[in-house]
Amino acid sequence: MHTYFRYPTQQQGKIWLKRRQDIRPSDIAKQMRVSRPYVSKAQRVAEQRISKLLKNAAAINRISIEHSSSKFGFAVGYCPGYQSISYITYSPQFGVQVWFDHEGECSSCPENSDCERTIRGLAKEWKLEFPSDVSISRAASLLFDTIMRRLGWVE
Amino acid sequence: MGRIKKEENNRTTDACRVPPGLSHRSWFAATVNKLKKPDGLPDTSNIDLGLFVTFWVILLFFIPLWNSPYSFGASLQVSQGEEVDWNNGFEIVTMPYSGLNETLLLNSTPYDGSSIWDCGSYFVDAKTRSDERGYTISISGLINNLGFFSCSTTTSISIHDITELFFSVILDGLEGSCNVTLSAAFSDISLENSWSELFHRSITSELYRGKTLNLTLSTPVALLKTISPDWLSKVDMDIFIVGTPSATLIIKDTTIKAISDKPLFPVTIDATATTGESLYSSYITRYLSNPPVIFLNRTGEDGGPALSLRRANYTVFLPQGQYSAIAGWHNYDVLSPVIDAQEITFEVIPDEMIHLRLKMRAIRLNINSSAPIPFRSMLVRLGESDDLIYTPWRYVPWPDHLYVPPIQGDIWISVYFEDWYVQAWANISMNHTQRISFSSPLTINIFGLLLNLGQLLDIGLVILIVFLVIKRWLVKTAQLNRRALLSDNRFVPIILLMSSFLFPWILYSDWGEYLTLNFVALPVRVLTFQGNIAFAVVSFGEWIILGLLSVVLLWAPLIGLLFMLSTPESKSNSKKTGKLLLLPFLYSVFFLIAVLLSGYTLGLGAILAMVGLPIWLIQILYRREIGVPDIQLPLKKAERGS
Repeated sequence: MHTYFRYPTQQQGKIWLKRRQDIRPSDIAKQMRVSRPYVSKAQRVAEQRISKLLKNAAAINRISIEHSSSKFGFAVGYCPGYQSISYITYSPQFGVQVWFDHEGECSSCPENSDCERTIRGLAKEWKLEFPSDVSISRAASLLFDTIMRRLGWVE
Repeated sequence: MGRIKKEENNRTTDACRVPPGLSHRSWFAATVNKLKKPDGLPDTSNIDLGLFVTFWVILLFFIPLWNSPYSFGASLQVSQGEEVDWNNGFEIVTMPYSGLNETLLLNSTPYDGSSIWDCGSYFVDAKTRSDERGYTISISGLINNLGFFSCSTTTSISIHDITELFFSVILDGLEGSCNVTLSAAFSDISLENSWSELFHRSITSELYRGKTLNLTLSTPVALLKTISPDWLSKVDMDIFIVGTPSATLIIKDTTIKAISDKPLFPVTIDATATTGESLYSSYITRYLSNPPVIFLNRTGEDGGPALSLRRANYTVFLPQGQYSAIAGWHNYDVLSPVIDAQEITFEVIPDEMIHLRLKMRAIRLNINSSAPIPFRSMLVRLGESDDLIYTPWRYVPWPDHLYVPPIQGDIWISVYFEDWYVQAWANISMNHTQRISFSSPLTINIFGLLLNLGQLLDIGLVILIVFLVIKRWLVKTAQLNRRALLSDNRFVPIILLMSSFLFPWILYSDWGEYLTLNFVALPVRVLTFQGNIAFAVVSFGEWIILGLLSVVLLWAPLIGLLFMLSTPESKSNSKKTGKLLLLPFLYSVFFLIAVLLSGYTLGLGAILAMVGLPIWLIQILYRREIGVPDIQLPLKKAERGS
């Protein structure tokens, strides 16, 4: 089945991110000089789009989703192809990213700096302090674990 | 801010974007290097860098060839002709004329832009037309602030016999507005250079739509009489028109009026060959460095001023008196000022005008060319004499013949076009019975593009390199989906950049009616005449500096962008795309600034190269605004399954 999906617009992304950081819609409306109903509508459209993006990323990577939150732009599932727990993140800054639960060879990987930038950015968006004394793949797992705990998906 | 607690992380180990089981390096080696190459196209992945190095090594190797004079091909043929009359002489014809104290030394009503006048545009596109209303001039330029149109003429005035002198021009403004300057410059008649100027006066006024402008300039004759070394003085009358950005006007009337104590009578001097044919039958005679000349002496006056006869029926107004003259070809030598001199005497008497017809020995040189294209300059060396230069220093049409002074000895002929020229030499003893033909079959005309053998070799080489680059690009991009390619943000800027190669970047007219279109990205220059292509020429010599810049700032970014199309557009490579588009943008902005400073006109090519970067940025911002994700170029259907 083909599904048409789009990223949230820049403004929708901003509103979605502010809502995720628990800023009240009326305050967002004041900050962005838009109406209160507009904030609600933008938030709703953004969540619809993010939901489709997460599902699409899961389908592409053959990941069966266990938990998904379009409000927080985060999903977790299982990839039978790689026999690995997989995470899907959405961020207005970094778009959709897929992560596999395994120990990466960060020291020799050319993507290392890009991964570090992404993980640092995601931690910042979630208002979490980034642990600096671990490898990037380890930091990623710590971040996702904390997120899942916040969302109540794990104990 | 929350804290990630390491001790609470009991479930997961690590999380990585690369799938488990494969390191990045091994995954790349296992997949990308096993991709099947498209059929029929060889793997040329290792030739990218080598290609450029080879290109420039060969280019540099061939530069000497491009810069060398193309002397091969041209030839001089000498054949025996029929015996012709070789006796020089002169003939005086008189006609009735009522001399007055008020004389129109020049009266062009309506002004017809005839051979008396030399008109042309400089750094501006100008169209002219003559009709019963006058001489219509339309000046236009896209971005141009230094261009002008000018008409000038030269005449001789018997300054010692005149009490008042007026120059005037009448113009009508049809469209736009412009500034018109009328100027008169008096100079030493015996000298033909800019240092000979004695006195200069000008007047400027604005002309706009619906206005009739009558510019009149009076000159201090008393002052001129004291500073002029001869009783005859040369005067250059100029009309400068500067229109910003465009203007259309008509020159209706131009006059030079003299008031004198005693009546003046016209003496018209014409020069013909001994065969009777006018020496001005070839227009290029007017540009000859050693033109026909007459040194004119008047009884009771010191000095014998030289009248250079640069047009047929040259008229000078003289008072009654006895005159003697020496006529021939001007030699600019104090000891022997005239080649093939002959002495002439005549008398100007009241109520008569004189027509003095000079028969001068001259050798007719026929000029043939397989490609009779406009040229800049022609140089003829006869025997031990100084070079005779026919040099308007602008493009002029190819003449079918020219006249040279009767000097015996070897003959050298060179014709200069752009940065290349043709020349031929013949060791002959010329005499009047010989017919000499100069042929220049140097060029091969391919769809209007003039090339010689060396250029053909070089172009073949360049085409080969371009072919290899295209082939490599096809290999890289063979798996791209056409629809995705069209929606790629980089596609339109690349097409615009490619198109910019095919259009001129700067346009200029360096005096005359020929407009030069310069294709900066290619070593091609096209000369147009009133909207039609006069000739196109591949000119490597002058292009080489511009060519190096163009390779770095145009060709390299274009090729880089083309190869980048083979990878999906992403945030990581968007910076590189921006940098590659920035180079041609800066290059075209440089041309825009140069155009504004120089007065050239900016061509479509530069504009196309300039808009690529802004369009790319607008596309990105627009797609971001409407929420379209970064384009990932999908593979073709056939590739999906594999």
